[in-house]
Amino acid sequence: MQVKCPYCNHEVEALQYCEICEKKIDWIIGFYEKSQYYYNKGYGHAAQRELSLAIPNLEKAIYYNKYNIQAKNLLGLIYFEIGQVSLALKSWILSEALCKEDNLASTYIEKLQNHPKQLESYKDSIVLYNRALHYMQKKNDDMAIIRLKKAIHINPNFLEARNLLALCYIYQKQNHKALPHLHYVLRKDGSNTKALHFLKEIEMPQEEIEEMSDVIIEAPHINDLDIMTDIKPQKVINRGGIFGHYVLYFLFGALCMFGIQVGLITPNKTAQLEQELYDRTTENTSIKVQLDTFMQDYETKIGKLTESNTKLLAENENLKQEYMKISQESKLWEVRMLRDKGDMKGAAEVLNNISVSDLKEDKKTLYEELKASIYPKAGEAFYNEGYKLYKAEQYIDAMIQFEKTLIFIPKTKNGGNALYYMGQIEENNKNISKALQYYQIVLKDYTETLVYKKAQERVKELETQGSQ
Amino acid sequence: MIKFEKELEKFKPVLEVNSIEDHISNEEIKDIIDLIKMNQQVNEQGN
Repeated sequence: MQVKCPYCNHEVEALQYCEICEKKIDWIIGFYEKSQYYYNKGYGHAAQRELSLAIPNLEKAIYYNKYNIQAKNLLGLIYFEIGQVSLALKSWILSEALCKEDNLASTYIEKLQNHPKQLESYKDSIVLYNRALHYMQKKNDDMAIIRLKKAIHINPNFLEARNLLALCYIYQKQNHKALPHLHYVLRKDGSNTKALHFLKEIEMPQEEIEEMSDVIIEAPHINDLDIMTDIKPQKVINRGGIFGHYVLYFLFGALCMFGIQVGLITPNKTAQLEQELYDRTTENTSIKVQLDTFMQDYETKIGKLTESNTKLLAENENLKQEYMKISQESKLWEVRMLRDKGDMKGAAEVLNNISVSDLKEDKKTLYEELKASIYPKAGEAFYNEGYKLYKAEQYIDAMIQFEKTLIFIPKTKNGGNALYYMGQIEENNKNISKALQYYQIVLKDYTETLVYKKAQERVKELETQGSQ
Repeated sequence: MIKFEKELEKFKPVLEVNSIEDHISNEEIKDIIDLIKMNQQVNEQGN
């Protein structure tokens, strides 16, 4: 067996004297053996799930030898199992402090640190338990119950919280609620004194215990307990007799509701609907009036616009006529200019294009004067030009000039000549019928002219040729 | 019969996780061997 010398703190064999400092150490061997003994006892209880019995044995083991790492680790494990996480951590931390190498405590601590949320929840459950205990000490059992329930929800293995909650229920005379918690505690820790004590009190009143004082009372074996089937309702209420009354009350209530519906709700609803209908009708009438007003206004506006449009059209027409007059007057000025230049033919053509009806009265007079002075001269010019072209055998251009001659100096000698030569051109073009037309006009309207006889001869010859 | 106050006294506040460090630092880790050793030292000093 290896021991730690209390003088030089070295690990040495369990001999009478320390190998290092040579001091007498045989007196500590007994304590080491005692520590081992209590550790084994504690381990045995822990294996049997008698955790409450294991704890004091392990504490004794540590008391005799603080370097009993196994005892410290097992104690921490037991504390963890019963929900006392802080005491478990304390044991493991102390264990790790005394022996850092190859120590299970390091593994346990590491596992807890790797689950910070879980650790946080354990912390919360302890805080809730302490608060609940504080409430209980102030006789505020309802508040305590709320916190204890939450603590157990977070950490179901928190046996002390379950015991306290069971005590709360027993205090409130709700033993049936305490039972499941006590059974749970005893399942985890079969030797839990508080749970055993409460369970005894609930399942067997004190008077019976006193009568049975000579009888050995054994705690129920955990495995035989079935939480679900052992819970029975305290009393059964027979509702058969009053069911008929409930039906009658229901029917009476339904009848009353029907009466209220018919007498109050429906007429009220009808009145509301009638009011709404009246409002809608009024609104409709108002809208119609507005519409009629709008239509009247609209029609009035249309009328005004139409009238205005008519005026504008008339004005526009007037302006057009004015414009026409002005434009025709301006042509008169153009005619004068051309005349003054000596271009009688150009002046006559412009004069011919003037719309006499668009001229003002005084301008009409001017027009006639110009016409009288320009037309004869222009006609002569056109005839002379046409004759030149006829002689040059440019018959098409000659035709144009002769036609203009007839516009400006009809019923004159040269007018007749122009007609005769136009007939000659048509004859030359083999348009005999056209030529005869021209000759006939000469024979009809130009009897006093020199070309009359010539036209007569031509007509005779053409008619003779035609008959042949 | 369960006497509530008497049973309640058996319940003590549980050490909170945040207080572990303070608890360890305040507590001297001693076992019986340490106590006997201290006693020996006292006796030696007395002698």
